[in-house]
Amino acid sequence: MTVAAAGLARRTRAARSNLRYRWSVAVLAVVLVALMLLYVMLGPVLFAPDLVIKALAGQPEEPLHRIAVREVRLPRVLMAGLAGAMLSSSGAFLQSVLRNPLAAPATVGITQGAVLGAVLALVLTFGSEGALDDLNTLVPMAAMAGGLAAGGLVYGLSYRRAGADPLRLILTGVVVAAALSAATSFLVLLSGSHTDSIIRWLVGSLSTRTWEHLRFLVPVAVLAVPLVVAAIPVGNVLQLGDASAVNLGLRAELARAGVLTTAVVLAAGAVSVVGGIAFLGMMGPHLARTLVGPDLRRLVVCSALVGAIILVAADLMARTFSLDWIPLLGIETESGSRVPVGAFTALVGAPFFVYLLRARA
Amino acid sequence: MIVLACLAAGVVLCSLAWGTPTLSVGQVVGALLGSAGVEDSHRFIVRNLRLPRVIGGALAGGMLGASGAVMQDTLRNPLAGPELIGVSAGASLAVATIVAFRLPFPGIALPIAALAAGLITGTLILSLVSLKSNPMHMLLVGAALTALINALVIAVITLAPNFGGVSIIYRFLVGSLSDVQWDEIRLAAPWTIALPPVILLAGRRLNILRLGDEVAEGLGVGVRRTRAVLFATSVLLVAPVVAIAGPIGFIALVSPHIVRRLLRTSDARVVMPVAAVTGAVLVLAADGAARLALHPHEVAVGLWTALLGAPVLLVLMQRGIFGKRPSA
Repeated sequence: MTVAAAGLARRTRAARSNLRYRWSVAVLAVVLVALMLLYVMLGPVLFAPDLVIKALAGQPEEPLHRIAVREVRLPRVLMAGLAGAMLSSSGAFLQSVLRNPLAAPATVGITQGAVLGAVLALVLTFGSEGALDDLNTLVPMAAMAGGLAAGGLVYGLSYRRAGADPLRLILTGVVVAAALSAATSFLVLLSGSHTDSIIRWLVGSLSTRTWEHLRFLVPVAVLAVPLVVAAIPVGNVLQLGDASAVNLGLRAELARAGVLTTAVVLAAGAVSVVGGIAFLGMMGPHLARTLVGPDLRRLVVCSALVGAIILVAADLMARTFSLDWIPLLGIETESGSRVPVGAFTALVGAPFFVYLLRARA
Repeated sequence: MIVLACLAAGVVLCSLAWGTPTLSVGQVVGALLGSAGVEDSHRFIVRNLRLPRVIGGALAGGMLGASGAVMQDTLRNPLAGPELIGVSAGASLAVATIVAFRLPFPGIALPIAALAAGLITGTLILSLVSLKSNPMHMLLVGAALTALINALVIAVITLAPNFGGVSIIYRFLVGSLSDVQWDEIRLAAPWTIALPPVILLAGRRLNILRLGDEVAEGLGVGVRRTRAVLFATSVLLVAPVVAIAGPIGFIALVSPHIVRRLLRTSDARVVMPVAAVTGAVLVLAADGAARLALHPHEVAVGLWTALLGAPVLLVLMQRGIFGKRPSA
């Protein structure tokens, strides 16, 4: 093959993968918007699309519509999308930098740290007569602090003179994660009461989330955007291994610390409002990788979209699913005893994930 | 090795002696041997309450430690463990469903159901992955299906009409030895006969697998088949102990790493047996803590394994205390 022909082949391949990327993003975005619309439409009261638009525009036919759409469903769906995107893109960074397919916020202890912070805040405030509004900001703040502290702890424990190598980081992360979740279980067992609301926090739930929670999450997400933009090219180089990174003129340790910080901020922010949703942060990036490959410039965007889609879909199911649909079981459930969304992310995602893995291999 | 053996003996003795009432070493030995002059109540406590619990803990720790070593080398990932083969999740789902919906499974039938469910899910995951040889693929499929089954467990718990059962389910999910009696031991012990031949036969294969697929094929090892067989072996090792004690977390992960760092070797022929003993010691120590630390409350052993195991491993990972870190 001549040089020119080889160059042409390479360019065609690049163009094809570029096209694939654009199509993937477009399709994912359309799916996400459609799902969000569906999310707002469905519920105890069904709305036609035009009613939703009217309510959003502030001209509802009934005041009740306004409340259902703008005060209940809209913040919740926005939060699901944002948190799903943050968790999943955090997982993309972690998998690339730690070079382990099992890496995820919940593998390296960020999630567990945030959950411990939240549960600590919940347990400490149960006795006191604090207003619910205070709790709505106090718990996310405690969770955020816990997540950041756990990230710092893992990095600090892995650090040696030469730096923190990926293997030691992930192993330390798993160990710290186990210790933190054991500590959380201790708190739950010793506190005794209110186990139900705590379990919802452990598993992840979006029920009773309001604009207040979103007001906490959005600044974190905005803060994370420049971090993400800076971390993408750096993470791409780190994926190749430390030696290549150094050869390409990168200070590997500083770069790794930067990318990890980005991942920690994203994950801690998301967990601080939605709780310890497992598996999403691991699955999202893998699904995105089957679409667009390992280049972080594309992977992070796609991971975010996939994560948002999964969490919105899962929460839609969590909100609407009811055991009464299975009359044969004849199980009486108390009203309001809904399955938390954390159970559905895996139910929605895992079969699809396994199918994709098998199809690709 | 000698230190470890002494440690194991010491932990066993302490587990038998301490509690309410605390007995002297002489009383324990007397009760075990059935010599005269030992109160009947003491004999009953040692033989029927504490001894089965100690044996159960040792079995559980040993199996989990060994299978952790097998899985980490088989899948060439330092995080691999029997949690990823579905056995724990399947057993948990069975127990959660039975307890939550008050299905009529009395006494010993519960661990049998857990054992069956664990074996079924383990086989399911194995049949989904064994066609492919890529270890990363096995890891991810295992993780995905485990997450799926755990999600079902959560769904069952939150929907349980029988809220009083939640604490029983929770205890099983975390791992607890408090319900282990002689019946449970009789159920689980025969399976453990499989352990010594596994250690003898698998060690060499694991060492070859660690070199990478191409090298292993070059040395004449059928990589896919070996991996599938080792995976199945792990299922068989872990299923019975999970059925009686629940998925005691963390043991399978830390034991092999502790051994690798202490002995500064990654040779699977050494790591596997020593990891089994280490796992047993860890579980017994954790169970002692579970029984005694917050007496009279008892906190499930699965929490203590993490709380005790994590610092040990973290300390070992600090270079300078135990010399250079071997390649994991």
